[in-house]
Amino acid sequence: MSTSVLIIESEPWLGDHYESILRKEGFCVDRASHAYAAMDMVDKKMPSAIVMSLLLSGTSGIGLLHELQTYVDTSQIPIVVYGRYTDITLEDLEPYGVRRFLDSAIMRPEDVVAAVRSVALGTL
Amino acid sequence: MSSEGISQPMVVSEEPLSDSVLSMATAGELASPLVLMRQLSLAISAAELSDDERQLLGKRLSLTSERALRLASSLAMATNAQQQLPLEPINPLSVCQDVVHELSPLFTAHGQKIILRSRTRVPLLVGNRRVLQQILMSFGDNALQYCTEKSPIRMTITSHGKFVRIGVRDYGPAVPIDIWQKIDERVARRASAPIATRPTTSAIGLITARRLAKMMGSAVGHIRHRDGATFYIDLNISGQMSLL
Repeated sequence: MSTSVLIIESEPWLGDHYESILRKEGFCVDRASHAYAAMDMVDKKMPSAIVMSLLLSGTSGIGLLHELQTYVDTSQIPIVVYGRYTDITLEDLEPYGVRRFLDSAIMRPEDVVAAVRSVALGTL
Repeated sequence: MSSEGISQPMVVSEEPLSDSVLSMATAGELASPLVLMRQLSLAISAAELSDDERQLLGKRLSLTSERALRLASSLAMATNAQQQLPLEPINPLSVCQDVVHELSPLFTAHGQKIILRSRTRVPLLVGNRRVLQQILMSFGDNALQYCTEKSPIRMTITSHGKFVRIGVRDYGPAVPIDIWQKIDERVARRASAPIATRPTTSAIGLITARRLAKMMGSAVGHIRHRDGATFYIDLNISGQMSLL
């Protein structure tokens, strides 16, 4: 069975891009464009990992991270966050279950794949 | 007052943001389309793409760059033109038709639609055609992604006595009542994030729209609806024709 990844991204073309690169690497990918849709999807099917932006329509990404930490099962989902925040570090986000933080200004497709493999499969 | 929502007239105040603060904020905000463009260009260079996929990504790349350029042009216009703008009678219908025509490829590429709703005959306005176009483009760009299949983005022209209101109605998440104050604060403290709840909405786009409107002696504002918002500009009707 392939590893399932939930991408949460409000910019549809960026979402398409990340979906495409993860699918090509054999991951089973679902998409949500905002936090509420993401929670619904997580309720129906627990993903092996989440890849998300902190800038989301409606509730912010931080709000979603907080919500995910509220439940025992969803708090176990490893999360990869990407963004262009100069004042946020991985240490700030680790309490929210974030395992990898990617700088979207310099990240490449293979960085996304490596981060997902690392958190979902435990491989580097 | 609108039957659909509560009108929030813009608080008329001295321009709270200096050009340098605005420029820095714009640089931060342009990072979003640049990140997207970079990812699209990396995707295009991948070897295993079909011709159709490459063409689609190329189209997205060009539309994203055009959107970023519109934002940059809008700021340049708002910061350069400190002098009085030349005003003339303009036909709002023709300006709106141009804007809708210009934005349609972007909306279509996102699987969305922007339409113009207006009476066939609308009065001439006093304004600057290029500046009005820029303002409406900003509203249109901001509305992108906030429509549904059954409810496209609507650009409307309505008469209100001595002025005409041109609005862009969307169906996005609720905007704050004090949105104009909030975006000033956000930009002033150099926060890089765009408007809360609407990540694809440009705070700079709204600020420059407000500045440009002020340069024409007009005002911008917004109306909150149950299921979205309308950003509008009010312009005075030209009295020229009534003299004939």
